[in-house]
Amino acid sequence: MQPDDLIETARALARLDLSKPRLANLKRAMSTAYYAMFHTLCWNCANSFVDTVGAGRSQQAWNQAYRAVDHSIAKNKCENYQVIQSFPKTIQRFANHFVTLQKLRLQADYNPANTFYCHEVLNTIDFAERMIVNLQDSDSKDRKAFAVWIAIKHHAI
Amino acid sequence: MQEIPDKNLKKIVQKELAPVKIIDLTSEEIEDFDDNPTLHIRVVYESENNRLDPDKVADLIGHLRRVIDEKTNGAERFPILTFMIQEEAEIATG
Repeated sequence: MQPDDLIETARALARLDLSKPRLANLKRAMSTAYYAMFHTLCWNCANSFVDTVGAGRSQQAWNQAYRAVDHSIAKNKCENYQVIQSFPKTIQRFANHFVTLQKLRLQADYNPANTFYCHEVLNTIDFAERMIVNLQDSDSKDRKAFAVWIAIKHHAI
Repeated sequence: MQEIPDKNLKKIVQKELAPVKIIDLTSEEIEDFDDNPTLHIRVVYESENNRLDPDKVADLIGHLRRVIDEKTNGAERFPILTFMIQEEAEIATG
């Protein structure tokens, strides 16, 4: 699942019936924008822990690294201000929006009383898209450190 | 009682997102689905082409976290920001 494709899907859903958007489409769009960020974390972990291309790559190991990210743990790690502030600005920004998107996604998917408006959703998709690019463009050393922080249980050293 | 009044939050958001015009702001203290304290801030704004700078918004989240932390002695209420335009705000308030 490519994060860029999920962003396009989210945007297409949010722009359906712009004059009178359906809440169901807006909620699915919000949820899909979150998954674009979540799968970006998964790609980052897999590509950080296992060779990305070539004969040296074990597909099984790459898949396992991809699946290493847990929604709740990732959110808690991104919310850990003491640690996140030690990362460069681009990764801090990704972490801030990831926490926001996960909370909004849970509202979208599980709170029947929750309402979203079109620009709330379109703005959030724009934010997710930029944060994905920010992370992908970050320094390799920082992306790997972020992957380790997100996916591996932390012990004080 | 709200830990930080909406008028104070509005000043912070206005300053950090300038030149975007902040028309209105309402906030609500809620518990998220993991029972973590959260502050949902809904902002009504006006900007060129209705666009916002995602990096500025991300930095604003970090800034608000520090402000909330100071004002509440470490209560760690994470701020969720969403942004709507005036027409949507009018629909929302009926």
